[in-house]
Amino acid sequence: MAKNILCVPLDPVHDVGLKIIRNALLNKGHNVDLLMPDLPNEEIINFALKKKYDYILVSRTLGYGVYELLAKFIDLCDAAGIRDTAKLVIGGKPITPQLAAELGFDKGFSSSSSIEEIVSYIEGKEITSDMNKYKKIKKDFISEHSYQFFNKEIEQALNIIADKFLNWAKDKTSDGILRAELMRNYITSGKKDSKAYEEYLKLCDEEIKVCNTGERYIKGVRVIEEDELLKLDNFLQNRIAYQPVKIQHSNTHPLIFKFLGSGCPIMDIVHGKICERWGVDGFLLINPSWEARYEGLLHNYLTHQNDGTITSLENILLVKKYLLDGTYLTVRAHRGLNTPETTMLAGEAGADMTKINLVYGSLGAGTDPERLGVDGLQAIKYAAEYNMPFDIPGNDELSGVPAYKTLAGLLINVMIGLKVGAKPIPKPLFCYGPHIMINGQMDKNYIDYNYAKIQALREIADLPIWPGEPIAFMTQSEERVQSANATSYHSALAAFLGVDAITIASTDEAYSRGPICVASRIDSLRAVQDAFKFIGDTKIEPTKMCEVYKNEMIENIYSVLSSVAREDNLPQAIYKGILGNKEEDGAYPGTFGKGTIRCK
Amino acid sequence: MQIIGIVGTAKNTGKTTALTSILDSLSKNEFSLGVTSIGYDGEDIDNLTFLPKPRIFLKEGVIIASSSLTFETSKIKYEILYETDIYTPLGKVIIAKVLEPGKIVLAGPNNIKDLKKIIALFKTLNTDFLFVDGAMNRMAPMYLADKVIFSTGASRSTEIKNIVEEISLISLIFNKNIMPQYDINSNCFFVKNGELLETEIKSLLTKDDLLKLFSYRPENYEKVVIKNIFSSAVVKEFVQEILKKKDTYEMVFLEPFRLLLSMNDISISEFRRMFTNNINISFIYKPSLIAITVNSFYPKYENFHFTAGYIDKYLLKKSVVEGVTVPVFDIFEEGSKDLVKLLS
Repeated sequence: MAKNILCVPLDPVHDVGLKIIRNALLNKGHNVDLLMPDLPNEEIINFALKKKYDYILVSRTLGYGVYELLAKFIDLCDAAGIRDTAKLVIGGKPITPQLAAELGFDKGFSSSSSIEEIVSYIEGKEITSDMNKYKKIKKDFISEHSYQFFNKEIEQALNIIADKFLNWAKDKTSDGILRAELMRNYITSGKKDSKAYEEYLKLCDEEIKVCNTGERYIKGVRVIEEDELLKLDNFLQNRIAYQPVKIQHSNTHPLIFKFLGSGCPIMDIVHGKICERWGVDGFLLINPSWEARYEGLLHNYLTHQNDGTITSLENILLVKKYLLDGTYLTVRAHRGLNTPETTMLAGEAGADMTKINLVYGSLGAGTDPERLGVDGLQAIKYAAEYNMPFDIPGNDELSGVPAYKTLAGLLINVMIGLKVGAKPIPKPLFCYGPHIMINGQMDKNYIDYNYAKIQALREIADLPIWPGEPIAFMTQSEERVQSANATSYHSALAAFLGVDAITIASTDEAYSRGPICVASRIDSLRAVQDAFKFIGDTKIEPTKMCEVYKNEMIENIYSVLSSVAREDNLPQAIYKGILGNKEEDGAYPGTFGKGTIRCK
Repeated sequence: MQIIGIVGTAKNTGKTTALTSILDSLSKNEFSLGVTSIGYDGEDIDNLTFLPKPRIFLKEGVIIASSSLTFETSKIKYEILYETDIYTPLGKVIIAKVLEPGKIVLAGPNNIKDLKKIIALFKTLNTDFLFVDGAMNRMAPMYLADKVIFSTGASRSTEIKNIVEEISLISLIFNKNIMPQYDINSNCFFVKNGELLETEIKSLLTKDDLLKLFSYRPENYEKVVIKNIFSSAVVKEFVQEILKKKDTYEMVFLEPFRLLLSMNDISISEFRRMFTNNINISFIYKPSLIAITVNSFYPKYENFHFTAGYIDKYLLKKSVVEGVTVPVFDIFEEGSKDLVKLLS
């Protein structure tokens, strides 16, 4: 049914909004009268009394003093009897529902309201809550890819590598694996199987044992008190995101992930809620780097005074409790002596994904290749069991490893994952790594080389691709604006390339050694939102060099993989430096856990 | 049930302070209390100035009418008595009884039509009082109240003489009599020798309306009744015209608030002339003005933000007392013990 609508610009000049709304309403067949701007109240009321209007839309830019004017206007409408039949609607940049209620209007819209919302309201098809409109549903972006290999030579090499590796690993175990199983038994018994826990502790390093039995805590760790949890609950109870934002401008734009891992799960949660409101799709929970070096993990609700939030079952559950259903949670397990247990805990806590890289974890993150091979394989198997995809961060590039070796490493992890029924997601970096700095691939522009990485992977196989970690790494400085811009440009490239997801840093993350402030988190989310709007559905055109880099990369990847395939097993290949050597690449096989694997 | 409206002459004049103080004073008696607001009241910081504001604390047993979203963000425990079909920007208006005390923001029916519905529902609940908290300087629905309290102060103007000029005129207006309703639908009509002369005029909004009204005017009419708007645009001419007449003479308005709507810096002097000369003014509906509250606080804007400012509170109260004929209270200083005595 066509409605009668009167548009009243109370402003001297700002009637653009009303004109846009009027056009939209006219298109839908409604009758719309638009008054001149800045008429006195009495004339407006006089006009409004002439016809039976269903809605009167008032627009005014606001400020102190204007409110009293609007109050008088609405009182006049009421006294004149206009409110008996017409609904009064206020629109303006800073209008909130609370302000609209205070001013006495029937409804208010702000600059973040869409035309569709306003038209829906007028047509009586109102959505009662913002949350329903913006309710996020997790997209299964992995099922959009077949994991089919196009490059048969590379596929063959990978098959050999993976088969040899699985064969090598099949009769091996470690304390890390045993602990994971014991902890799983303990958890599934409802924490009643105390024997399992005792056995677990026996396999831990002394420092870890001492913490878990409550004697004393190490490294700035302490238990979170119950009343702190209660305060968090009170703080967050009934808080709904106000006008939540959607970052993606089209449905081909990637999902946006951010890191959490300030050390304090409570801070992480609050930052997480704020980032959710600003449009983030998911989080990667980052644990303290020292956890990788100890046998055994700390359990309980724990807070930590330095970087990295302890990914205990309780902490993961706590974070998950407060995040929205539509927000992804990834738990990092890609290095160290506790990867199987970490992945198992992630699975038990209901996390969406985990993060494992057998190659990078050994080269850049300090774990012995054999130990990480055996443990990491178990971690991938858990990931498969709990149906959690796992992402593979190509951060070895940051030590100086050339991109083709890193990508080769990613592909190895992919093939191993596929063979045990898991869902791997390779993460090529969008970074300005040392190898690039030395060899000049980004001297002319940052686009060709990053573009080439993605194209190379796409020519090799149909894989989900998630650049990180984060994008723009090593192009950022201490300046927040510059950092935000860097994230912006790289995300525009990611948007054009149509990758599945990207990880972005907060604008102080590149240089911060302490907690990241929430304003800088919002900076980067806003930067990406604007980048997506700017690029929209247009193209980025690389130069001819992109094709050159891509072809070089594919060739070199194949060459590396062939070399790895000739070795007895993957750890051997890593020790030999095929996937990254000491001399040129600055990559050192790790030593934590050396000599700790044994036969089953 | 007594309906008590708390009306502000501007934002931050102390309506909520008055309301919470009155609720507190009354809670010691056995009265059944109802509360609502025609705006949005009780927030912890002001929507505009970001300065802290008083919150409305409700005791057990109080019955409130507020929008659904305000219940979601409050910690009070309540029992829903009615779910109405009245909508505000914050959702459906719900009438509920407070089971466990707590703070809430009130956002009730914000116009005449909806307030009438809410009043009718409260009457079925046999509450002794229904307090209707105002919002900013909005007041159109307040004529539905039985009694009103006006809150004024430095937020209206930091010049005491301006505050007094307005509130004394308001006091004068509310001192006028009540005239019984005439049984006709016409919004504007004349009375001569007991006979009613109808016009088709809906409101006196513009000068054209006024000219049309004058064209209907019979010789030697006794009364003119204007039920709808009497706007600031017509006051000057109308008053001039009427003052030409030698005899006493009557104007009847529907209720006092629609006159206050037309009062602004320009028309206030015309209104004063209207109310202090040989014109008998009466209203068809008129809540009694039982008290005025004064507040020396105002939000002071300097260096791009607001801070708390104060004018001389003793001089303010003294000056207002001299200008009005009803009791004046500074609630912040004195509390409301004496004010509530005026309610029963």
